[in-house]
Amino acid sequence: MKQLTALLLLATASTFTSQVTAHQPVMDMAPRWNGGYGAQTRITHANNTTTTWLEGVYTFKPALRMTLKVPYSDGKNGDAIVAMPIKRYKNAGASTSNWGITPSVRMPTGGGSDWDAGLSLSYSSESKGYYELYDIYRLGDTTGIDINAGMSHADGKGSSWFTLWDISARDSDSGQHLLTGPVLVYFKRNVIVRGEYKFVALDNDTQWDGDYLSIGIGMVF
Amino acid sequence: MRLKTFVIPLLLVQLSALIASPVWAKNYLINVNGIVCEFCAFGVAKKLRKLDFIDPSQFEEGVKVDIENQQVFISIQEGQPLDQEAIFEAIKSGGYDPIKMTPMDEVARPLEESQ
Repeated sequence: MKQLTALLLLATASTFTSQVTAHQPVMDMAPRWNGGYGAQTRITHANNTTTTWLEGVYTFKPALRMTLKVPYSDGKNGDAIVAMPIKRYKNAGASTSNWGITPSVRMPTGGGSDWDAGLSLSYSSESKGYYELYDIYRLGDTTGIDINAGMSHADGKGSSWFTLWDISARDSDSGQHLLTGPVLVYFKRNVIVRGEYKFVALDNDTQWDGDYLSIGIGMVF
Repeated sequence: MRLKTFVIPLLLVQLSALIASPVWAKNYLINVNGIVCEFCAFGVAKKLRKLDFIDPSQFEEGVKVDIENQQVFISIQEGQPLDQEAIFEAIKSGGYDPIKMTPMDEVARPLEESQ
């Protein structure tokens, strides 16, 4: 019943701060516990378009999750992405890290007919005061690289701040673009808030125009 | 008269024993590899709180996570047997690796005795 509720939640989607971009697992850090689930919503603004992402995650066990992301903009749903992150964790003293491989499928829920397959390879690590994430992926005609790295500041009372820097590079049929900028993440118990602003460092992409803004909030259970 | 002679001293003895006895605090410290993130640690605390022998009146509903030192503190209810295997399994299902568990205070019985 609990799994059904979680999957329903996943299916109907939700909230929260995604670790990075559209292809990515909803939350890289959590939930990493058996039977954990979460939801998040993000509002992104790019290419003169505002998109609301409803996202959900269910963790079968630390090594296996399922995620769903559904974009909504201009009064209609976009193409939903279902992914299955498979992670291998290593816990060592004052650090934890994981390698991940994430197969995904983008479904034509936005009205088209094309299905796209994707694959992501990622590594993230966290130690006292430091966090980093590297991800390379292919989804449809797009190849991407994401890097997040920066400092974490825990208050010892259940909340933490992360101040990160993000670099996102994309290569697709329409060209290449590179975005970079700051990311601010706040955790309080099971709530996460994430904001990021990335400006264009390189743009040879006929389909890309301008900077990128994302604000999200989510919860895990 | 005889009643007072016996009952009053008995009550006094019991009262003094009550005042002198320490507050029950069967607390344990568990060293856990990799637990450096408050957000990620939420699952470990959640799993531990589900164990029916955890004393929710201590710490934060029976559990406290110290990410600075990669330690988890738990409190066991008085009279309840300690199930170290269940505790370690709860931490593993929370995504982390427990290393060892140590009793924290004088009133806590050694692990061997309570198992």
